[in-house]
Amino acid sequence: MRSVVLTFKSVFLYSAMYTSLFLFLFPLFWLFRTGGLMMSEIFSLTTYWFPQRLTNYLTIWSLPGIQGAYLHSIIISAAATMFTVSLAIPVGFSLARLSTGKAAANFLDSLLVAIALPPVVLLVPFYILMSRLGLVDTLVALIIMNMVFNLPFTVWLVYSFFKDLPIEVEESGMIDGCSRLGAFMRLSLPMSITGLAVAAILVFIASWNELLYAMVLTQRNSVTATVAILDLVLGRGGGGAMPSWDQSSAAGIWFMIPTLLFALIMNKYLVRALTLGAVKG
Amino acid sequence: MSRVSKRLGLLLLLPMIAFSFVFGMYPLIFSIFLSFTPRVFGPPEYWFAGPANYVMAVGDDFFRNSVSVTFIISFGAVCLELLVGLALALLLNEKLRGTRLARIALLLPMMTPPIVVGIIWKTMLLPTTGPFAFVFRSFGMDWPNILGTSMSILAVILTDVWQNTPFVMLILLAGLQSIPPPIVEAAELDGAGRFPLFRHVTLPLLFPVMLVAIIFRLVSAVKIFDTVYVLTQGGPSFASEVISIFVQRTFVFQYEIAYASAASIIFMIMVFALAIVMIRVMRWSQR
Repeated sequence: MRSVVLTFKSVFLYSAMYTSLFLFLFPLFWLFRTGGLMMSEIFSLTTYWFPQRLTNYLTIWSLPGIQGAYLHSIIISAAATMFTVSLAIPVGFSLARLSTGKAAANFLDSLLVAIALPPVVLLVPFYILMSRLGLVDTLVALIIMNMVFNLPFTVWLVYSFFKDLPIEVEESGMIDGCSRLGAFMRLSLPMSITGLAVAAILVFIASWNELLYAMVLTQRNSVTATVAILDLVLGRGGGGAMPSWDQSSAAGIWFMIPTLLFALIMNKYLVRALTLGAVKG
Repeated sequence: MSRVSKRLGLLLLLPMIAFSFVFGMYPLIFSIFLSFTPRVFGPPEYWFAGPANYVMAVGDDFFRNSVSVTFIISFGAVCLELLVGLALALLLNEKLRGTRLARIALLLPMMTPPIVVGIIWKTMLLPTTGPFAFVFRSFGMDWPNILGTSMSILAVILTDVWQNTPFVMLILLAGLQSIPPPIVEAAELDGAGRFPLFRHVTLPLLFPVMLVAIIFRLVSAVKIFDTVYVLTQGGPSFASEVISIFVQRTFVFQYEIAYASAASIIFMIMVFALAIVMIRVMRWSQR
């Protein structure tokens, strides 16, 4: 009797699991399908469930400006990641080891406030600042912008990774003749390489996905992949004025490959990183 | 703590503080200043006009609409994500074959770039050829052009639920897995049934991580821009215009710099209330 009940239960659980997996993964398949159609097929009365050809996946690369846009996105994201993490490491070390007391606690709180700040709040003044500096429509403006909005959570993450490292290692290094900073750089920094990589990946993904500022700050010379794809969706692309969801889907598939790869790489650390260490996943 | 390391601690903070002041704090202060200049179309005029823009924003139907749209989307989506996420987390916490793979597969929606999420759901929700239209038609019903009606807000919520439920699920799953088995076993020994066990043991123990999930989701949900912009650009006729789109539209298309600044400062103040709750929760969960 018991085994029958168990079987019924497990059939229910397995079908629930596979149904929900299907529901969550089907939209991604749908994107791949749409990328393999033509606009007329997307709107035809018969529903196409499968891609009819894969030519879009190659031809989008010859659309005007697409290659440049992806290149810009790579440069912006890579530079923003590098600078953000380099700025965050000394701060994280200082907060975890050297600065203590009320001031440091207030500093940490202000980081959380900055993390909660919606990007749109600084849109107007940041644009004006950039236009005064002559940086509108340059990659530099978007690199700076991505640094501004990613620094707070990066510092917080790096700080929480450093804080979890045993201080005894550094202390024994100092007994062996290292300076305070030397002990940190030679001993703790290498130990926290995973944490730093996770922080770097998150900055890269956030900069890679950024749309709002890229829309406003780019015109011609610094168009990012997000803006190029948006132009394809809404139909303001270089070639024609018509929306082309087939091409934007194909471009979207290419666009999401790096973020998905990174997500799989840091799978184990994702929960902890995205909750700023509040939930140990 | 020696004087030397205290000075070193401050020195290490300097580069970031300098950067944040120039490119973060200065724009913010400048924005507050701009919000008190007169409401003009075009280049700002730099004289003090009092709180006129704020008075205007508070009474502006379009701004008020964007505030309520933002909060309906955020609260609606987060509530649904919590329910579905809890169900999924309980499911994947069972001893089933393939749960680890399922957990990884569920990462994919949350790691899909928002702009791509927008494209996906724009084509999923099509009135004649999408899967929704197909399912509805096979039941003899018509799937409405949901993105073209005032129901577009529901489409945004659905999209957000698809994308972010996995995040909530992961947090809750981590919470479930950190409940020590002896506690559950003891309750079972005492004869607690399945539901009472869940209601009186699992749920209270899960409450702290639930709070973390809610706060993180709310804080990021009110920022929503990309997916809505791809799906509807705030339309039709402002039905899904969130605050971020309102500010962007006021700035980019109407070129009302002072007014857009005032609206964003009001938005900031509303979000700070959330941030204060966030700080409390973080302090509490790090204890």
